Amino acid sequence: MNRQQKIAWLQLTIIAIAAILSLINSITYMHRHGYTFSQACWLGSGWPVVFCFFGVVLTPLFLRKKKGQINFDERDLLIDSRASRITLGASFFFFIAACATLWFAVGIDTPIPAYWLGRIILGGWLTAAIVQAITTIVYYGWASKGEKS
Amino acid sequence: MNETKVGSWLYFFIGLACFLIPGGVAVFIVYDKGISFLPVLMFTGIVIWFGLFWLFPFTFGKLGRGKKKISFDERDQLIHKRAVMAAYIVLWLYFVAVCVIAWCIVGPHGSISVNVLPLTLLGGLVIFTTAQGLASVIQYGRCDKGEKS
Repeated sequence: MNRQQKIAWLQLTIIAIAAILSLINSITYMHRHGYTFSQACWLGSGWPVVFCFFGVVLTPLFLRKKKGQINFDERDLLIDSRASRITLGASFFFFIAACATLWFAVGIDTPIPAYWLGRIILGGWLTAAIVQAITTIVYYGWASKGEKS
Repeated sequence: MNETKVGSWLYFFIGLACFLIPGGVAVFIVYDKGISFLPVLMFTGIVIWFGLFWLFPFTFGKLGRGKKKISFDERDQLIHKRAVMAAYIVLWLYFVAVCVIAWCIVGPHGSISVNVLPLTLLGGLVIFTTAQGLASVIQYGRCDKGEKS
């Protein structure tokens, strides 16, 4: 398994851990503190989202490349470029879906809280992180084929 | 001037009009007759349709594989992929910038009209097409170098 695969797996693991923590937190807020479902979801996903953001962004720093070793050839470059294109396309579709759904659900001329825009960006970033990791893993293959980092 | 270069110029001039006219019709219907499923569906359809517009050269390349004339070679493909990548990056930055600026203008506890979202999408499409067209034109060179379609 090479460096890119390790990074992708670690990022997916961090996102999965953050999702599980958010779920546990949300359930706790709902049952112990009596919050509504949407309030509990937003409160519960607070610090796990921060953990997820820093975890995903800092992953390449934890898995540094070794000195004097070439671990990024033309194949890796091609996979990285394809994964990036698919990632950006997926986040673009997320933005379309989020904006159209919100517009249709809320109705024309209705004011919405401005912090929802921040949530849309966060959703777009999360979509990008998940798609990038999954696409990289799919292109390399789920199982290790003997690539070394 | 080859086919892709002609296509890039078409994207740049006629493409913008193709985006704005149907989008404008959808907005006019909404303001004239109120919100209904049709304009929202129309608008989302336009956004998705034009969001996938960059796949057309690849589709035409596959359809025209049996023909003797090659009008979309590896270089064109590389330029096209790079242009799409550049356009996606510009689009991503645009969405983040719009959301952050709107959020900063009204404040963290302020509210904005939901109409900002479809307008943001429409602006995003225009920016995507412009960036893609510009990136293609820049990569080919602004002057004709004798490429033939």
